Amino acid sequence: MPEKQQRIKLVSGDGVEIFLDREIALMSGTVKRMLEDRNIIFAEVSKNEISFPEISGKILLEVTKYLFYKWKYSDSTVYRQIPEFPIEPEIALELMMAADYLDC
Amino acid sequence: MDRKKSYGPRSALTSFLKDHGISKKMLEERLHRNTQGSETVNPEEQAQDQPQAEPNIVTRSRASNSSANSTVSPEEQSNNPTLDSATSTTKQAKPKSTAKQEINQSTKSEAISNNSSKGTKASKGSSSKKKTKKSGYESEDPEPSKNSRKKTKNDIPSSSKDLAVGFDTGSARKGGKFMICEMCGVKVISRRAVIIGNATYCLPCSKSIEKANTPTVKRNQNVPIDITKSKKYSKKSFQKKVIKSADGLLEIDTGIPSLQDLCVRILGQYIDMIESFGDLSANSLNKLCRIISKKRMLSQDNLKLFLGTDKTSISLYDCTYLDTTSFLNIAQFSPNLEELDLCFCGKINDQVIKFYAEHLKSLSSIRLNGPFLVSDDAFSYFFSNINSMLRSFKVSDAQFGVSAVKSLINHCNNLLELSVERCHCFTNDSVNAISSYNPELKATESLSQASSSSNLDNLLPSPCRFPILKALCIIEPPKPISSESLIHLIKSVGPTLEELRITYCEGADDTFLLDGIAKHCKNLLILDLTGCKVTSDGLCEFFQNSQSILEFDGTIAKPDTTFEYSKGLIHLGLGKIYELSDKALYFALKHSFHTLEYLSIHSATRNLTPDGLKAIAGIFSQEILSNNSPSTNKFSQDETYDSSDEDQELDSSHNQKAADSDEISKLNSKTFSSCQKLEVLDLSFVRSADNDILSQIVESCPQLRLIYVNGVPNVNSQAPKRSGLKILGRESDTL
Repeated sequence: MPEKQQRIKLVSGDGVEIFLDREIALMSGTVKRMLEDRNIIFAEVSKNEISFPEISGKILLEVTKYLFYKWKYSDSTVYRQIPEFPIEPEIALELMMAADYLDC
Repeated sequence: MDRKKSYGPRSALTSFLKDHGISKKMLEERLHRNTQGSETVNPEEQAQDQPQAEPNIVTRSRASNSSANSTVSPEEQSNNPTLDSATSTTKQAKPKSTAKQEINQSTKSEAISNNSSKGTKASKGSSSKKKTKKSGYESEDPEPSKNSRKKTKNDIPSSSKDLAVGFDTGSARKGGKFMICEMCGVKVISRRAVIIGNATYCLPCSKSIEKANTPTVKRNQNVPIDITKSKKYSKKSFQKKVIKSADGLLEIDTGIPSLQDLCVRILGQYIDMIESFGDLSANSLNKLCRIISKKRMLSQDNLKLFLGTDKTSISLYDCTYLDTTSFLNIAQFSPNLEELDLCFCGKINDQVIKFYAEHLKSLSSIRLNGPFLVSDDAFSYFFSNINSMLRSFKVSDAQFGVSAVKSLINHCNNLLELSVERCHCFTNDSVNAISSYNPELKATESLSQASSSSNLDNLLPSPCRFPILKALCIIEPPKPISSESLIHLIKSVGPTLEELRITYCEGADDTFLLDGIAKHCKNLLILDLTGCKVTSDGLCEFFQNSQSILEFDGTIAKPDTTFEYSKGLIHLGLGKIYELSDKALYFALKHSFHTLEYLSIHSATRNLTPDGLKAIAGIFSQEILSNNSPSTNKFSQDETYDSSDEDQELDSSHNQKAADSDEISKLNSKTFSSCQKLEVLDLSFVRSADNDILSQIVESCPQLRLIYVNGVPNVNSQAPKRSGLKILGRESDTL
């Protein structure tokens, strides 16, 4: 069972596919709700694939980076100093929209 | 090191003290020890200090050199048995204190210190006089230093040290504070006292306790490295605890900032670049504004993003941090605004409002949330200077007194929407001003009939100040508004009204309902009476009456049966009417079940039964009416009485009765069914609701998409489910 759910596929609007560990993907509130809601079972759960038609591949990649960053440093006992997450100002706007949607 | 070179001439006293190996450093160390718990100490430095191995000497001396005046090696401090800990050799370059302090310090420490350590100190002090830099390790003879280390460590176990963290021994240094040993009852200077657990002990007692209790601690003492480790660990965990608890106060999440925060920060940083970055659609800009407002980060820096000459509509959801200049900028940079919506604009003032009136020439809709600084005069000026095509004016949490209202009446006659929410100067007089109703005139009118006719004539030329007003909201007026004033208000503006929200208003009672709304509001689609003083009986009568009036109208004016059906309410708010009964709900639903899209019966707990609730699902039981209305009750009783008179006719009468009830139910089923268009239902704190009723309601109302069930214990995880339907507020749901 855990092996089956191990990886989540994120698909962007322009078709970029990103495979991500489930644990890392759960750092996003929206994804968490999709995958772990007991009341309503989303189609995404059975396929282990979530598509974001409104998010471009570049932005999704950046979001994925952030999710990894958050996952890595959420265990604060290991890392005492958390480095800053770099964001290019050019994509900040789009990234913020995506972040708002993904709740992360 | 640099500092050392730059030393100027010294006073004789300083040199003398130096000769005796007494320096500011001792004082510093004491201070440091006292504040050790709260101060963030670099653990690496400590780690260097603690292990008393010889190879470490070099690093230690380096550390000691970093302090300004250090001529005394660390060992000397630790030689002093009065120093209550072994942790104390963290160096800090602090500004030089006055010589007097040093004297005080030195004399005391000398008085207390051991003879043996004194000897070593003196020798070292003399040696350290001139070789300032190297004295640290040259004067160090390993033997006594090791001994002294061990000794001090023996004095106090590390665990008790941690408990003493934050304990203020400052007064003890001046020689003032005494504590009493729990074991032998002797007075101890608190600096010499040892704290184990919550009890204080004198030195000998504590030693005996140690011997008896803690062999493990002893083992640790023999191996200094272990102690440093445990100490480091405890300190670290202490720091972490503090951080964690502080985090918990602010946000539950971890310390990692959210991506949105980071992005908003970046946006604020590069705001000028983003402006040149390109066009953003109005929709995404609005979304952006929402996100920024949600994070409470809208400031004068990123405000520019939302302004521009091409903008006709601006909504700022959180203006808390905007200053007067920013508010002026809104009108300055986007003069073609038609719609302006400012939330939390507490810093808006008279100057800004007047500026808006002069510069926003095409403004048609404005909503101000919380402009509490704006005076009535400013509002008067605003209304007299704004174009007369102002369609919508909404204000909340402001002063908005009579003179402002009068100016509004005189200048803005084309209002479609007027909303006054929690305005603390909005009183009875303001309402009377709108309806141009004069209570004094009324009084004289009641005296003489003639004057009443003249009064009517007076009213007729300007019967309505807002001839096309469609929406009127008076929400939570802090000052009581009388029923009479409200009735006259409705009389003047009622005929055109489609939306009426009068909430938490004491004056809105049954007479207002029956004489005001029922008589004058013929086009009402939205009615919200949340928290008003209306009673169940009043509501029953109101909904029955309004129906009959409609029927009457329908037969006389327009002989069209569909006319009546087009007249239902779309939105009905009956929240916080605690005694709402089954009957009232039934009549309300009967009145507009075919059109209702929103229904709130929030906290109708006292009289509402499960059977009554089923009316929403279109299930009608006679009991609702028979229980509440005496007429039907009486009728049925009479019938049974008749039948009991003659036994022979008993069966037939029963049949007849059954047939009658069938007819009635048929009749009802014709005229009354479930709410087909209902989308939102608020059942919060309606205790009689449960899963079964909810499932019936869900089945019979196909459009239902949202049900609030806060505080309804009988609706649990077994509640009915349907795609597209949300049930909010169940107790079984956790956040």
